[in-house]
Amino acid sequence: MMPHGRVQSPKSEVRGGLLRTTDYGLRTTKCGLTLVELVLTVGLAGILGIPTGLLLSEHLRAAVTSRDSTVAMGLARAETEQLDSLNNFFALPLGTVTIANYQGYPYNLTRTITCQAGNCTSGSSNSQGVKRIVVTVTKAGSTAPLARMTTYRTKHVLFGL
Amino acid sequence: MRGRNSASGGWLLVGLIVILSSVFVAMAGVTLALGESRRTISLRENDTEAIYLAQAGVMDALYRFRSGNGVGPLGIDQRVDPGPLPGTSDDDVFILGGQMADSLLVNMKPTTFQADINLPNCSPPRRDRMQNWTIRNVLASGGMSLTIDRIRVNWSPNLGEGVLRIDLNGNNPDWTAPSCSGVPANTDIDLFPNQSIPPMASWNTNRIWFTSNGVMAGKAWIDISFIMSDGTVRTSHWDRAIPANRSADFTIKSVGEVRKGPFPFVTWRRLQAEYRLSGAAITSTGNLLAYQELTTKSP
Repeated sequence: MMPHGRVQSPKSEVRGGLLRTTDYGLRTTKCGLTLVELVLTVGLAGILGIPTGLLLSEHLRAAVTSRDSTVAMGLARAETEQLDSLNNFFALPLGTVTIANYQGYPYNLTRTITCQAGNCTSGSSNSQGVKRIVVTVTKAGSTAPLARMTTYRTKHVLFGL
Repeated sequence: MRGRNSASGGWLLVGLIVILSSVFVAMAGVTLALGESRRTISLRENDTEAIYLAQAGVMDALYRFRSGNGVGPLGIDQRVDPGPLPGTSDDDVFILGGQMADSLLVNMKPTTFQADINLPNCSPPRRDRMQNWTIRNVLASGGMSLTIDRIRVNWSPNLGEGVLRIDLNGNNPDWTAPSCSGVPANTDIDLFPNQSIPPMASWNTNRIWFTSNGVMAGKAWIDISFIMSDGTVRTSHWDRAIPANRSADFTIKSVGEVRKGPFPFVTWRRLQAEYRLSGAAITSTGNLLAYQELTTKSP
């Protein structure tokens, strides 16, 4: 019990390696963390932070892949529709063509047209043939296909009446 | 005093743990959402691929038909792109299908009319005859026979004429009206027995007799509907003014199926295409009149 009217000099306590409390007798003020708490917190933050970082990188990867896939499929479809709109079997040249930066996007488009069956060159109405069209889109600088579309076109068949 | 201080520090730690855990759970949720988004994009990609595979099926069927080999085979996988695992069923394919009326090609392009045809049992004897239209089963060998159960004939303008007789695949009557007044337009005419046309077969002599004389060639249009034994109907159309509108049609139904892909599910889309010949020969330039996507995989 402290005598009445006496001022107690400040008292410091070193505990756990850190200056911890300042006690003026009447009031006790406590602030800061103990070393153990700090170590525990950093440890837990590390344990939770590593998977969080992995998740973040996965987010970024998934977001980029999704965007690439969507754009690539859109470009492949645009090319296929463009070929359809020609409505002319003979305007689809046999062979492989690669178009870099297709329509200004950083993607390369490769169109491969082969003769699937029959005669694909004769213009005679008695000569039949079917072409195979494969459209592949890759990201510029990569060979891994992001989108691939395959269809056929038949000779002497037109869209519309 | 000490106890209260320790409790305060504990709450700080608990707070931190709660915050970090919340962040972790939130990130896990976002990751799952991104995964689902990627899955949706992949599904959309496969969807797009599938419709072009279905188109490949239509084109392949037309090539086979125009080459004289017939459409088909039906219901069998035809590989377009091999899957990544050899020897498994993960290829990208198209599958052709359809019902009887789909494969019945009634070519109205070469139709002619002849008046003053003598039908002696009915007075007056001279009648109109619609002839030279052809019927073909477009399916390849091994496909199904197409059985015609009933025929319905309709025309415009209708001035009260009647149908007297129908001959299919030759000059002999397959149906004769019960009286010389015939049956009115748009009446179901039941063939007895039903008439079947095998795959790859063609009937080149088919005729319809009318009660009128010198009238039917002037009609704006005449429709002949074939009601098949499976209940499906093929309606063939003759148009006087616009020859291009004279039908010579058949229907192709093709399913495109994507079986490979980053996710283990099969995506299919089904396309129905109406094909019309421009002339009497199967090698005449043809037109795809309409594409329609179907929501059912069969029939």
